[in-house]
Amino acid sequence: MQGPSSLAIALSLSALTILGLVSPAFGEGKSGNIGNVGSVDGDFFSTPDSSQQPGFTKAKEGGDGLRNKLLGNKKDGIPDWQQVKMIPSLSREQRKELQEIYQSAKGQIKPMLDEMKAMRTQFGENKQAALKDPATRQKLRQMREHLLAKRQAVWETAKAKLSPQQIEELELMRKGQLMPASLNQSGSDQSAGMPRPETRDEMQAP
Amino acid sequence: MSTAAKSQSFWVRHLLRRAGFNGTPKELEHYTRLGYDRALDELLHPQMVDNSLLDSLIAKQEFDFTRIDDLKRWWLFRMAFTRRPLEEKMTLFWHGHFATSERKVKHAYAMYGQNLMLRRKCLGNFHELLYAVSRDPAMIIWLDNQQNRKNKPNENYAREIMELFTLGIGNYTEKDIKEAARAFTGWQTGPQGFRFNANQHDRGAKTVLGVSGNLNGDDVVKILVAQKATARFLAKKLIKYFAFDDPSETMVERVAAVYSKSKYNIRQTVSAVFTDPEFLSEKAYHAKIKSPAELVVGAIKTLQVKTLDGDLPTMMARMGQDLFMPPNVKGWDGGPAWIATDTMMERFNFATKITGAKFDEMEKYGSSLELVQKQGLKNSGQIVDYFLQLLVDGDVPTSTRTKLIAYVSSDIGGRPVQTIPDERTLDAKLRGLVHLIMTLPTYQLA
Repeated sequence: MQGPSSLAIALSLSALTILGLVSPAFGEGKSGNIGNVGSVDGDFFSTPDSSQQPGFTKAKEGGDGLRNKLLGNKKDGIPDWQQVKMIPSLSREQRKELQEIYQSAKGQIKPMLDEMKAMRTQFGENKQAALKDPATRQKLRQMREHLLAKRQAVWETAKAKLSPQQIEELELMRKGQLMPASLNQSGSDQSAGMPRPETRDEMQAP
Repeated sequence: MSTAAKSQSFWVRHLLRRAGFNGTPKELEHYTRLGYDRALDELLHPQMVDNSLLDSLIAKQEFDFTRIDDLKRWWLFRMAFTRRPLEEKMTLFWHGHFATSERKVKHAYAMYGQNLMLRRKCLGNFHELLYAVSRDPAMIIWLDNQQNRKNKPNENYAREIMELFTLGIGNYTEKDIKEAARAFTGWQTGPQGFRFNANQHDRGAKTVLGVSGNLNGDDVVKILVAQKATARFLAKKLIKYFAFDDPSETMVERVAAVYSKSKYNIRQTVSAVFTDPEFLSEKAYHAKIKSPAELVVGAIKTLQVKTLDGDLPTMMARMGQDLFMPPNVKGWDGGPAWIATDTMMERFNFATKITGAKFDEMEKYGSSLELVQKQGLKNSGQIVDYFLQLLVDGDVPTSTRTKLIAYVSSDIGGRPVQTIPDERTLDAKLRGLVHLIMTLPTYQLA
């Protein structure tokens, strides 16, 4: 952010810099190459405070605005079934139990999702205007809180079926720190004629 | 543009557009200083380049690797900020070659694992890579090898390993596919990874491409990687990916010979593409249509964007390249297929987004004047030349350049002006200029 005095200097400099804009040489069709493109410190298209640390802005999580308002940011840290089912050490029985828990929860929130669908239909083209209405906003807030509480409750129920190690496994996966199964290719029956290839490059692990 | 007698830095920039995703000015400076041969050597040996900064930056992003949307952002972030550009470019190549989609796999962590595996082996030995791919859980799910059983062989993997991964159509028979499918029976995946189910493996005699015996999947992999057709198939695909869409037969033969002679060494094969006289010729210069990844990551690099829009992967998907979700088993067609009415519009939208970001909050973006001053740009011609060089290697017709100069030298109403009145206008003009260049035909070319 520039202060008034520095801005004044900058403006006068810019006026000087840009004086005599169209040089006669341009009309001669000289090469556009100005040689080495030097390094530009800082970041022309991002805010100065972000220039040292690359990162992402918050993304939309898909779906329409209403759904997002209701379900909130999926990065609220509450694992869903799609994530829980990836835990490698889940037993068949655990998987079945957990799936039932999540299926049952899905059934319980269905009325609210139906209500949301009805609201969306009712809003029609005037969705943005409707979302500005205080009563609608209050209702959406309540629905959102209810859904978040429901998701949290489902996770607590699911968590009770998991061992501490399995919860840790899930956390490590979420951070990308659990060795993915793709990198474990030894198989469980190597004796059954599964030789390694003869030629192998030693590559550094990523 | 004539490429005759071009400087070393010219070819280094050409190399970076293909072996990477273009570069930041600092990267261009670095590789230019190395010279073509050493730059290529560094690109080909990513394990020799310290990438710990990227790792620490990624750790700060708090990506959730069990969510596919975050996985897409993670990879895009890697492409944009890695110090090993060819490693990412090769990983993207293999992702398209061994096209596997999360839409069917429905397991983000398996896709993450496959991506790590492809990156780890991207420039290693093709025999080992194909061996790993054949055991990869995501691939096993994707091509239904889980259902490939002794008494009911499923031919999907056997067909694709021949048609799409190694030989190409016309170099095998239906009988070869059936026999190879039997060899892969029992190759399954479980929660802990690859699982050889001995009970479901067909131990009978088989014949694949003339080789007979009690063959298993590894034997088939070994047979396939050694075929001349595989050498040609891979050589052609690598040339098309890195150089141009219509490689000559002689170049394909040269690169294929390196593959065979090196015993399937990918690094040497890729090196053969980048050192081939045809790659360093007019035929290759600006001859490839940028993939969405090249377009987006290239813009991030050349414009030094650090704050990435979280929806960039979605924009890329609308441009036709949805990471971790290739359209089918063949992967992305690439080349002219990247350009269609809708995808072009999305490219323009991207240009609008990246150049117009928060323009109404100009006071936060006070570096346009600084940029002009640092580069010593004293008039509109120099400003236009600077950005043309940065974004399209200066490769535009004179008439285009003249129009761009007229744009910079005019007010909002299009009337010529002698001075740009203030920094705000300068910033608007620079952003407008960059936007115009990003919508030029040349900008769509790598």
